[in-house]
Amino acid sequence: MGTDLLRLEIENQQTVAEVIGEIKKQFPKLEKFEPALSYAVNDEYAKLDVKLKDGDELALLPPISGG
Amino acid sequence: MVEIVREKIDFDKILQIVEDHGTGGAVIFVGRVRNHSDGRQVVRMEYEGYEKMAIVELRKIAESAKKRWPVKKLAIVHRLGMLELGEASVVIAVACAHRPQAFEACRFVIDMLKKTIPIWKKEFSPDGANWVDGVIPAQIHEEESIS
Repeated sequence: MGTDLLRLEIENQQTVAEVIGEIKKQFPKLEKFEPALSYAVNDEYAKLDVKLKDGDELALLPPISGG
Repeated sequence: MVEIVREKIDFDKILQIVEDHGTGGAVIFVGRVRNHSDGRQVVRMEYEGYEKMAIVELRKIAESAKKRWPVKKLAIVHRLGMLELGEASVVIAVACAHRPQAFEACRFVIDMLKKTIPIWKKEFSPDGANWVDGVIPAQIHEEESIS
């Protein structure tokens, strides 16, 4: 996305969808990739309505191609 | 045993892990770097992974396989980093009392791995490098959705 590190203040209990919205404000280009993204919270696949709390790790995953 | 490694996959170690005198068949799948893809020449392949999640997901696949078949021994090893043609990127070994179970379980593991593990590969061809078109991961570890 053009940076290795992004500091973002988010509210406790914001959902994955809300946090993605915050990231998009700073990186509008993310919108183009959004339909292909999957999300993981603390190493588990997560849906957009999962709520995040302090210390959680959210990952944005492009389509996978392992094996 | 599930593992992500950055060096050459150790086949001897995998064979030792699946040793079991109660098993009559061990099926071993080796995924390796092919010299072509969609009509393009491929000269090497680079693998990246979201490693700690990949391990979690590999463990889930191993557990699913053990629930569905009487698997006695199972090893899944995926390699990351730059691989040359012919090198193994993934090795799956499944040992069961009887061979049909071992073939089915091994097939299940590689098919699930390709659908769920957060690993990405970049193809290098004489014209340059590009990330391989991937698939959107299936979130299908719940028993009801994989039956």
